[in-house]
Amino acid sequence: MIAAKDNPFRVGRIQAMGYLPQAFSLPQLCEHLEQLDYTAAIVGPHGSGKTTLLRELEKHVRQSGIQTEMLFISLDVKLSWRVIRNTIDSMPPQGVLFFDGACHLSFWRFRQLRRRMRKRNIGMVITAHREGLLNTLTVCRSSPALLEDIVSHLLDGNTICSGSYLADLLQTHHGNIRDCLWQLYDEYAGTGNAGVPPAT
Amino acid sequence: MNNVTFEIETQNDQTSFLPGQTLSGTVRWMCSELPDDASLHLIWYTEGRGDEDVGLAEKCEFENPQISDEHPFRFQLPAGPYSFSGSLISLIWALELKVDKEVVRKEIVLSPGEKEITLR
Repeated sequence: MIAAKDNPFRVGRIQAMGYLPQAFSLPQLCEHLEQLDYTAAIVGPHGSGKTTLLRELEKHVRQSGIQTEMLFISLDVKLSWRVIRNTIDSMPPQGVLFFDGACHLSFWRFRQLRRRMRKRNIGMVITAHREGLLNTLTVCRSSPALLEDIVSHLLDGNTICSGSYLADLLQTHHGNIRDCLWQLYDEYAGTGNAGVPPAT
Repeated sequence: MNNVTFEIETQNDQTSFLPGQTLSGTVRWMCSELPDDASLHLIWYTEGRGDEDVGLAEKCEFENPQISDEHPFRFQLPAGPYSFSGSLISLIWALELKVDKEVVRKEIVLSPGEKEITLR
């Protein structure tokens, strides 16, 4: 058995790795976000890296001296409107709210949120599964090459998973990289290896 | 940005402890600029398949930190939680020294047998 703290696919290690640039570098995205007046959406399917990118952008914006707040909702994690409203009301003008999963708000709640942000002159960056809620900052897409890159980083370049194995894995998980990494975690936890196909 | 070199040294280089035992040692740092803040935290955190949890057991702030500085510290370790590891989750105790925004951690073990408990 491999201890959780020694598993290269542990969540803390994945989060520490941060965003691996895809179509645009992080500075390019920050510049684009500024052009969009800090009101934009990161769009993509489940497990394509939206949350990772949102966290990185939040860190960059905060380090540039702008006050930020972070909120998270999902199908399982709910937030009352009171909490959302209080968070917004505690922010100064020109602050930026990073709202992970804002697409899970109802149409009316989202309109209410946007109105409140505009009134208080606060920016908002959200993650969404579809385009159209706000101007699109970027579209995150998973690919076998990206998964291979992530795995290579996590294994410090010692890739023991073949490219074809990772491509199949990604297909099995319908393009969800997070689910692929969970499977690799479980494989590594059991055997100290990940992505080594069972002997036939 | 402040470039910091730092070190956490426990007495007799001890890294395994019994619950309730005293943990003492010295912290040292050398910075490129005069730091604003310096503090030592005794924390535990989890690592594994799920999101991380963190707990703060003790904190020691060092007043008027200098560019090059050294401070003794002394903590009374709590009764738990114990250090443990399984395939899904590990709980790790650590001393965390923060000088401005720079952080260094030194892992320690806290358990009745002075060894990390292995979950099977």
